[in-house]
Parts: sequence; C-alpha cells; structure tokens
Amino acid sequence: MMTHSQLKQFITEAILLLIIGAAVVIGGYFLSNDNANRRIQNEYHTRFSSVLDASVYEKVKSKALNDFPEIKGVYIGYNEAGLPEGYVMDLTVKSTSGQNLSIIVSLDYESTRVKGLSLVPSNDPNAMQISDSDMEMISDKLIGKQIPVAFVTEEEFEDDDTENYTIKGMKDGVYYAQRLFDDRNRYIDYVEMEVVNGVITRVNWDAFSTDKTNQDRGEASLKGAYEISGLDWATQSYNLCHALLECQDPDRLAMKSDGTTDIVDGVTCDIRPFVELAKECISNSQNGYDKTRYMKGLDVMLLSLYEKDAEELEYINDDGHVVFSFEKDPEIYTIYNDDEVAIGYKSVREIEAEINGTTHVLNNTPSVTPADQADVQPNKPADYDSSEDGLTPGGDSENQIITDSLDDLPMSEMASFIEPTAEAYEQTRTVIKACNTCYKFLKEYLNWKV
Amino acid sequence: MSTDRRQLAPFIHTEKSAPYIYLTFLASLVPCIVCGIFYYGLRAAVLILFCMGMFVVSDNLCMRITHRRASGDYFDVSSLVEGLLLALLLPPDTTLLTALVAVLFASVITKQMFGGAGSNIINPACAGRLCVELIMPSAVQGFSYGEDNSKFAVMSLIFQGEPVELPNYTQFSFSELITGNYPSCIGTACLICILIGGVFLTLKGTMRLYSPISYIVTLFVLYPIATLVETKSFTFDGLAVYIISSGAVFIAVFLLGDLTTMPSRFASGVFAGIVCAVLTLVTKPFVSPMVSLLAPVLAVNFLSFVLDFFSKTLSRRKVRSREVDVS
Repeated sequence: MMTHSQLKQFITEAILLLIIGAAVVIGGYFLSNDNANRRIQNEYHTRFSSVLDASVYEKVKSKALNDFPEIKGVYIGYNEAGLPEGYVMDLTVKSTSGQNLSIIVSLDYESTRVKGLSLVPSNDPNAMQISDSDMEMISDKLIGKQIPVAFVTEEEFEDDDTENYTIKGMKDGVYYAQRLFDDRNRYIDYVEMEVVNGVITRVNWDAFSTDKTNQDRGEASLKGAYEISGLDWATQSYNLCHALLECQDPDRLAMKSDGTTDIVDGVTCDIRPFVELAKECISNSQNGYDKTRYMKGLDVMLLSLYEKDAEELEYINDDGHVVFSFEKDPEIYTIYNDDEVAIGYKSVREIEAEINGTTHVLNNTPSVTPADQADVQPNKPADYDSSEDGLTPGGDSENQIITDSLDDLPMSEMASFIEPTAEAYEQTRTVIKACNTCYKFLKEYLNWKV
Repeated sequence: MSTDRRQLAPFIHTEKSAPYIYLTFLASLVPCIVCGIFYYGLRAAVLILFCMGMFVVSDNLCMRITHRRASGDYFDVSSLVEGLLLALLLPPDTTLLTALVAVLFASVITKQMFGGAGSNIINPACAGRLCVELIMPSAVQGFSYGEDNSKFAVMSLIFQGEPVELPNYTQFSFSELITGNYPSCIGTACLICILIGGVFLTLKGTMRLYSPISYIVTLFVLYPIATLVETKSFTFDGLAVYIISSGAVFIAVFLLGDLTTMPSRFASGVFAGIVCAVLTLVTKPFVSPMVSLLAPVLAVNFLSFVLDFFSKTLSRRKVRSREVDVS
C-alpha cells in the first residue's frame, strides 16, 4: 500500500505533468500550426492551381456533402484580398458504362460558370481514360458555361420554350388507343387524347377490366380495391396525364428502362403502357386515324378472327370500349424478328392496314411503338432494348435526343447546352455529369430556390 | 486513537511498492494523454477511459473467477496502466468494439492466464495492440487528420470508417513532428511529451534505461544500413522522421523500460534493446509498421528471463574466477 504522503506526492506530480504536458502541446500546436497550414496550402496549390488560381483554399465542411458520396472535397478559393474567387470540387463520378472518372471542377463564385477542369490521375483499373486532346476539346466546350449543362438537341427541341412545344403534324380530333391484351389483373389499358389546334388539350389514361362486372382501374383504386405503392393509381394517372399536357410529348416524360419516371411528382407506377398508348394516339393523330376509325379497326380485327364485329360478339361495355383481349391470337399484333422472337407490337392502324391489304403512309416523326421501331430497324431490336435511360433510342451518339431530365435534373433547369465532342461522347457525357453533380451539391449547400 | 494497525511489512525496505511504481507510470503518461485529447478530442478521451475501465473490469472478473481476488485494501493499479498504455497505442478512430477485443486479449490471455499483475511474461498492452493489428488490421487504420479531423466527432467509436492511408511524414516540418501535430496513434505522436514521461520515470527510479537507450541507439546506427538495403537511398531526414514519427520512442520509453517484462540486469537489458531494434529493422519491409515495432518487443519479453539467467550465471562465474585468482 501507498502511504498518504506518497499519494499526495503522486497527485501533485500528476498535476504538474498535466500542466507541463498541456503547455507543451498547446505551445507546440501554435508553433507548428503555421507550418501545417503552409503545407496544406502548398498541397492545395499543387492540386488546384491548374483549375482555379487562388491565394488560399479553404475546405467546405457541410452536412450537404453526406448526400453526395461522389464528392471527395469541396473548397473555396480566395484571392489575396480575401475575396472568394470560386469553388473547387474534387469528385469521382461513374459513367453510364460504369467507369470511374476522377476530376476536379472549378466554378466561378458568383456565376457558377465552369472555370476549369482537370483530370485526377488514378490507379483505379476501372478508371475512365480521356486523352489529353479529348479533354482539351471537352474543356473548350464547357469552360465558361454556367452549370447545369446538357447536350444541345437538334431534332425534337426545335423550340427551346417548353411551354410552346408541340409535336408537328398532329391533326385535331379525339384519338384513342388501347392495349390488345390484358395485364395480370385482367385490365386493358387505354388512353384517350383530344387534340385542338395541334395541341394536346385532354388526356385520359385508365383501364377497363375484361370481367365486365369489375370497375375500371381508376375507380377501383379510389375505392381501395386496386392498390399500388405510393399514391393511389387514379391520382398517379391524373398526374401523368397532366404532365403530358404540359410537356406535349410522351418522350419528354423521361421514362426509364424499368418503366418508371423520376420527373413527374407522385408517379411511381409503371408508365410504359401510358407512354406507348399515348405515342400510338399521337401517331394516329398525325395520320388522321381518330377514335371512330380506331373502333372500326378493332372491329376489322375481330371480323378477321371471328367473322363477327364487337357488337355482335357483345364485347362492348357501357362506356363503349371493346372489352376483348387478343392474347389468344398474339400473332395478329406481335412483330417477330427473323428468329421468330417477339420484338414489339403493331398498332391497330397497322393491323387494319395489313388485313385490308392497304399500305399505310407513315410520316417523318419517329414512331413510338416497338412495332414501328422494328419497321425502321427490323434487324436491330437490341437498340431499343438497351437504350440508355433518358435518351431517345435509335439516334446516333452525336444526335442523341435528350428527354426531360438529365442527371436527375429537369431540362427546364439546364442553364447551358453544349454539343458532345466527336468520338468522345461518353467522356463528354461523364464530364457533364460531374459538372451537374457540382450543381446539385451547390443547390443543396447554398439552399438555392430553383 | 486509531485501531488500524496495518502498516508496511518490516522486511520491506523500499518506498517503491507496486502501487507506487504503477501510479508513477500512470503519471508519466499524463502528457501523452493531454496530447491525444488535444489533437483528437472527445473520441480519444472516451477510448482512453473505456480501455482503462474495461481493463479493470476484466482483471477483476478474472480474479473473481479464479478465486485470486486481492483483499479489499489493495487496488490493482496495473490494470489502469495497461488499459491506458493500450489506448494510447490505438489510432484515434478505433471503434470501441476493436478496443474491447484488444483489452480482453491483453487482460485475459496475456495477463491473467500467467498469474495476474507482476507475473505476466509479456507486456499485456503490447500484446493486445498487436492482436488487433493482426486479426483486424482494417479496424486500426482510422487516422483522420487535418480538416477531416473533428474534436467532437464520436461516430467513429461506433462505426468503423474507411481505412485512412497515412501521409508521407517527410512532408511534415520538424516542429510538427516533435509536437505531435501529425496523424498518429493517440499517445505516440508527441516526442516532447514522451520524453517528459521518460525523464519523470527515470527521476523516480521506476524505469530501467538499459533497453530503451540501446534500442534507440541501435535504431540510429542500423537504420541507414537497413534503408540502403531496402531502398538503395538514405537521408538523415528520413532517419529523424522514422525515429520521431514511427512510435519507436514511445515503445522505448514505456514498453522497453518496463520493470516487469524486461530484463533486470544491465548486460541483458542492453542486449534485449539491441535485439529488439534489429528485429524491428529486419521486419520493417515485410510487415505493417506497427507489427514491426510491437512484435520484437514481445519477442524480447519472452527472452528476458533467459537473458537474465545467462547474465547472472556469467557474472557469478566471473566473481568465482576472481576469487580463485585471489586465493
């Protein structure tokens, strides 16, 4: 055991050592901190001076960074007078092909225009390679541009003003399209569309049941008999129809490969039936194939199969829809490739033309159904299936048509448009993604009200 | 009048009892604690307290289970010292779970299984730290520093972060290195604090200097050769940076100066220090820096009683041969 005097001595010595230790550490910190800061600034200068020439760089500490794991660091560069010059962001983004691009982007402090771009050398075997000449060309296109950035569109967006955008060649009238087969809940989707002065003024998307005693899908969803995740189906259908009235083109709904869209608030359901039927309606409108002719077309199909029309077969419900699924005769509406593999569906107009032996005149607007895709490129069905989300299928890389969202940003928010670099489309696209990621971070960090 | 007649046993002629030695050791580590908490903040403080507390709990539980519990008037301070030493050897962003694994290994396997305080062959803190370094290496790579280092961050105590690659220390200035202003383990960074602790222990007579001095001197002498063999180049800056930043000084002072696990005689102590330094330099290119520093310490811990035995035998033979010559 220790004696009291030893204990007292121990406590005294411990306190003395605590004081000496604190003095040494705190004194040492202030003594060495200048060196530490100088070393850190030298490191920043080495890394960032090529993109933003600033006197001092200060790292941004923000909780907003937690939402952007691709951003490794954000810095603000100050000039000698202590005024902010710009932002420097060090980030690694993934390309659409899954490669990693490590890049440093600098932005003007006031206007958030791109001031500099610099690739970060990486040992990552999955790193995206961009040659110096390509990077120079990409930089030339992007530097000075305000973020967010998108590719310019050359075909569809003839008019940049979204509010005045319409699809060319639509004739006035009421148009209709329905699926020729029912879904697993025995519903047949249909879209009815009204065009006035070449503008879509009314759209309705619903589905009737092949069991005539059942309610339509919209009504059933409001009564709780038909449930999906998110909002009820009727509300989602309404939101989607409203979005189409605003954007006037189903392509601009940015349907992804899984059939969903990110740009219409509250819509989480599969919108593929709607997009395909709406495109069929538009195509019908461009060809003057209105609802009455469509119904006659269905009659022609039934006559060819059963030698009786819908009325005689009692397939017409109270709302006038032909409640019949052609799923037992898939060959009538399915398009097969040379290997007898189904690659798409024909529209009623095309089927009627085939049955009547008449040739249908297609206008120049790219048709929308897989069937029409097959008409254009019968031997390349994979082009449709593997099309990139947010891009219209079929176009060559230089003329890719961009839909209403890019990098989770609506096109209406895009501040600048550039053309992709020839032979470096993927690289340009990935650099744009990096710039747009910077924009999304700044939007959250600075709490922009866009 | 007090009825308490307890007093030191009449055959004890020194004031340096076990508690005194351990408390002195504890006091010598205070500057390193201050440094760790100053640079790494709350999480360093929590880690230190957690390791000390868990070491005490684990030691007491083991003693209860094995019916070796000390009488109520004696508190085993060695548990606190070992827990503290272990915490100071951990990186600042170590999770509590990792620390617990280290503590349990140190306490149960290397200390209590050999008979408890004063009976352990190897240094428990050193063994515990080496254990986690070997079995969960990615769990002891949490060295957040610079602008990523927040003094109030505590999430790293629960969730293991990404391993952090330590920077090249040659880019740090001498003042940063000696004051501990660089990423390192909690208590091994500040050279001045370690030396203050070493001087204090020496003044109090609770540290043997043979091994630490021979260890550091051997490192100084052999490091150039080892570096030339390994990298074909050598600079004195590199030597100074290695000695200061690797944690070698902390190990020399607080692990090789230990009275329990290191040889007690001069010759064997010097020899142990040299062997430890040689092993460190030999293993350095092949294993992680911490393993190359700690594994040799355990090796000489194992050797210490053998070295002491040979040293004693040799000195007796010398005395006898002198007696024969005189006669």
